[in-house]
Amino acid sequence: MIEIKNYSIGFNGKELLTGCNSAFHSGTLTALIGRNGAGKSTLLRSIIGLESRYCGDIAVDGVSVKSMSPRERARRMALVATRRERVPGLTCRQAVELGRTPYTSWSGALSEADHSVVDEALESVGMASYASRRIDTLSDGEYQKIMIARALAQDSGILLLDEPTSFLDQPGRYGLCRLLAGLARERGKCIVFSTHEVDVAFEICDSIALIVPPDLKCMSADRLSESGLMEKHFTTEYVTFDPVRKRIVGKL
Amino acid sequence: MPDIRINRISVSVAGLGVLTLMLFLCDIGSGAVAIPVGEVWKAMTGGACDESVRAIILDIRLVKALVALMAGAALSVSGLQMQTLFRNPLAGPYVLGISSGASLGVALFVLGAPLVGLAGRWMWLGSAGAAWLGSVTVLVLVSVISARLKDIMVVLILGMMFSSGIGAIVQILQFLSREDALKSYVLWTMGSLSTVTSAQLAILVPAIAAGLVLALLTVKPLNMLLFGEEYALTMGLNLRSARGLLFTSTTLLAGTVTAFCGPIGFIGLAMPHVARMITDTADHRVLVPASMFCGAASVLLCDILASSFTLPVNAVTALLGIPVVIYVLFKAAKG
Repeated sequence: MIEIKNYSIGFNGKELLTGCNSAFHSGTLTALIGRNGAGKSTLLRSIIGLESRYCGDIAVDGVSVKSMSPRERARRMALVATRRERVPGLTCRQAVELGRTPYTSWSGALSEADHSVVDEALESVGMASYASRRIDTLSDGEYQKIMIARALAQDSGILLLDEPTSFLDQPGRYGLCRLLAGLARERGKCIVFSTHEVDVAFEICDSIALIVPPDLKCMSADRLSESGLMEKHFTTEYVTFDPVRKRIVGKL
Repeated sequence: MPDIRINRISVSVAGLGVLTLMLFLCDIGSGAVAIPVGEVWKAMTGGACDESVRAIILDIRLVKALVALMAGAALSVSGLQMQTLFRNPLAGPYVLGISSGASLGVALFVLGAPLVGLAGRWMWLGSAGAAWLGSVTVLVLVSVISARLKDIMVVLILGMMFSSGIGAIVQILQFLSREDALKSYVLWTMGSLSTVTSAQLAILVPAIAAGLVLALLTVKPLNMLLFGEEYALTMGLNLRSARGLLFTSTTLLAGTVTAFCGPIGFIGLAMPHVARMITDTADHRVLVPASMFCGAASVLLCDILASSFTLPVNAVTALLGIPVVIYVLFKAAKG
């Protein structure tokens, strides 16, 4: 589980988030939502250890992230980023095998056990038949699944995804979120993903973390839809949040 | 993992090894003086042959072939490391400024010292020592700066800026110096595999061997860096030590070659791509040995051509390397 204690961060003299306290538990799928620039990516990067310029503490399974070595962090947390990386010549299987690096020897050679983990990871995202294909030849949705398989192969208790649904079509978005929900429930993983798809978040996630600058509010989807916070922060002259349909709708 | 693919790769790498060995032997057999194969064999295996022939084969050609072999392997592996670290298919062993540092060292030694009357005092250093000092100085500067910078792209640009600045200084030195010193310097820039003595070989071989051993240690970090530094960090890479290992390996490889042979171009840039094309993989456990063999084979080939027609090495490597670079660009543009 992830514990965020008194977390504050800011850039260029501006405070982004101040004194945030929250916890993300194992076996749950949490959506991190907020307006653009609210700090969703920053928070995820702080948790995984890519961003360390913050005050306060982030602890994973009781251990402070800042005190962990890169390898320890890699064994506890895995990341799937938004951007698609071009890696010519890499097969899907090789991409997933990279997820095993926190466990392999100096040369990176995989053991039998490592290969089973890789096979299983490809199976769970439904991409086993794509193993020998090059990742350059995949569609965005297929690529995203391979990157999730890579993160699964890392065998970490925590999975963080930064806007994984950005480049997917509507069916793809639902499919991905259902996949993540299944992984959280069946494997007891703590999965946090940032997204702009508020409707998908409310429909599929156990809990939702809303960035209400400079604070972070985390609660169950039902409580959040009734709290009035969504209306407060997502209402502009053109749109507002509908608590019944649990989505952002246009104003007439 | 499909066995067919592993076998194909093993066969390709083994084939490259055999090709390298054959070219090595051809290189010993070729040169300005025509020596029949039988005589070459006798000289190498200690059989009865003319002393002058033995001297040519063992003291000149064998040394030159070894230099070509090591230089090719070193430059190619160094180029591979830089291409993966900077995620840039046009990076080569000299992007960090190693070649510029070397040229500054040699320029100061050959052109600058005579200008201020210091020539005698620094002779012991030799142009190789001066080149090495120059490379290491630039490398240390780049490393110190890179330790403070998160973004590797800025390091790349800095390396290029250093190179340009140094180029300007060297031009000034060239402008001010005498004809003979100038020709000396210009000949150095053309690259040469035959100016290495047996004594210098005793430094060159261990230094490059050390660089290659370190390169084997960089295989896992390089694979982790395929998706970029951020993903590598999330997979547990210690970025500082990985960069340090890569910089040290590259300096030992490219710095040593440049110190003793002058700046030899195109091999480090083109041969990793040839290795990728032949082995068809992105896995550095295959690419490092494959690049070694491709590099060694190509420089041996260049040397065979250069010594048969008495041409400067850099001219031949350019003529061989440019078509490869163009092919890579076309393939990248299409895909």
